Amino acid sequence: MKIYSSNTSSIKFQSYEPNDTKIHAFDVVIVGSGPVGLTLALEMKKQNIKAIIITNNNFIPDGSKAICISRESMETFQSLGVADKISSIGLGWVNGKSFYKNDKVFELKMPDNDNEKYKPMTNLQQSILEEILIKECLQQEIEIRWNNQITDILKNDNNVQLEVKSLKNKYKITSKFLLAADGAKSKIREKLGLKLEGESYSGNYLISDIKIKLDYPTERLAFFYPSSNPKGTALMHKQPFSIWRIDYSLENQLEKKISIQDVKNMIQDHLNSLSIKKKWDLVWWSQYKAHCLSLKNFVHNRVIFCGDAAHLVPIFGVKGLNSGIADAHNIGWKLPYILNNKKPLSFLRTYDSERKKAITNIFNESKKSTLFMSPPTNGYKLMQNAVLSLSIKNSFYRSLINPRQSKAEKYDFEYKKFSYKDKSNFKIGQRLKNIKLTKGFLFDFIPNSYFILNGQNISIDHNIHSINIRNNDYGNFIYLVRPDKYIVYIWNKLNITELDKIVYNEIGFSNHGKNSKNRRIL
Amino acid sequence: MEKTAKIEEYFNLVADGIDKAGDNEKLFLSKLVLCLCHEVDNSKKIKNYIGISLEDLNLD
Repeated sequence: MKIYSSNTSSIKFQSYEPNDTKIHAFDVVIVGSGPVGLTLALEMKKQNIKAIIITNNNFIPDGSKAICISRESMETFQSLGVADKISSIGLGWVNGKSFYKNDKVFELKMPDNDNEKYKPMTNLQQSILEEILIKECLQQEIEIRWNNQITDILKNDNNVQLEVKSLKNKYKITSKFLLAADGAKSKIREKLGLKLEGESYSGNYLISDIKIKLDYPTERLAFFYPSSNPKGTALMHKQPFSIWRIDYSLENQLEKKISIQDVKNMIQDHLNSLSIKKKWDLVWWSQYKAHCLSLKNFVHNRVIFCGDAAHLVPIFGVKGLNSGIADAHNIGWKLPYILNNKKPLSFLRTYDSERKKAITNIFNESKKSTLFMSPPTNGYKLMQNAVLSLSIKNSFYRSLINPRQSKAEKYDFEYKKFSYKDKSNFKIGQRLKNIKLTKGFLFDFIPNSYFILNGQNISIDHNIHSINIRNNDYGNFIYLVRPDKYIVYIWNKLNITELDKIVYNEIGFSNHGKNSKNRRIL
Repeated sequence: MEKTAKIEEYFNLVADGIDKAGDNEKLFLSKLVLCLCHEVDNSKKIKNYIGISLEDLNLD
């Protein structure tokens, strides 16, 4: 397999044809070979679940598409063994600049310091991310049935029965669960008669990638009303291999279908406005409209929706790909726990509630960004101009220009009735921070299961995996943590009966009285 | 300064500003409103004054 080419669609995978007529049986069928489907497959493999991917492609679609990978997504990729490869190619970044006509009006600085393993954002073409994930799936012997598609969902109650079409045959699959990660135009969603609900916005964007060598740093560049697009905006992002993303709002071409020559003219105008005279090539382009659309529920009996199949979020704030990876990381341990009888089937509800709430929060943030980036009415446009104009010399409205970049969501857990005192730097329902240790980082050492992070130098008489830690961030507290790094509970003084009850609730067994066999001291 | 004198001064200052802004009067007024909102820092009062200002816009 040729890796990291700029023309990924030239790599063809061998189509799958069934060699028997019997019904194929799996624990999990994943539909879709995009980044979310591939991440789901690796999550299942990590927990030893028998899963396959079904995809109607036999190639990786060209085009950068989503390019910004958040720190939280990188931490998920670390747990799947692909983060080093992504880091080695991707371009990490922290800062951004926004301009109003010719003046700088805002500087974006995302939280970062030398103790972080990953930058807040890493830019990498989606097609290359998919190549890395496919290579990892193939190395881990995850079956991908290329050029196959689900033609019917025959049953969806105590299991899922599917009719599948390959290039030459039709066959049937039965699976305990189906994970639908087949994107914005999900066929699985359509087959179940489900519709996305919410709002679509009027702004229309051209998204293009060009190959050009520019010695600019990796940062987000936003231009409001540049001379190249005096009625709209332009955004620029650097990608690996001298590829630059240029997004361009189409103010005068809302209903008009634009041609490749229009695209080239717009890009040349933009480069001219920045006095860039270098030669460039158009690599890929597409048109985009902002949406805040979501399914009412992500779980429908044994069919579970993830990523764009479940929700569509605006590009501003780079939450599309990252929210899909967060979905995969959430269901990625819950489904194996259900399949291994550690959790009841009803536990799927927590995927629905946690990820729905996360998406609602993302919508609330994205709506604000979209109203500012792509003002829908004269009133909003006038206010946007007023804020930008004021921000040339004054700081008090600059926060409105902030693109509200992707961040980890906090979940609501139900253990507040116990003895927790709210004095830790962390809260119940928050994700752990990947702090730097004397050797390596915290997430280099955490297991794929529930564990205790023990900030007190005490022996905990329990069989759950335990990590002893001395660190100012985590302080003198004891944390019970889920496999997806979310804090279930915090003790300042450990109550072993409470720990027992919570562990029993979470995992369905309790081993109080047996010393931890899996203790590690960091 | 007594209240009427102050109001007269605000009236003149804003009128002068609009004239100086010329064709950019909408932008000028929007910026001014945002500055004053920042200074007032009271949503209830701002909503009330928006309501008052929306009244009787079409008297022809």
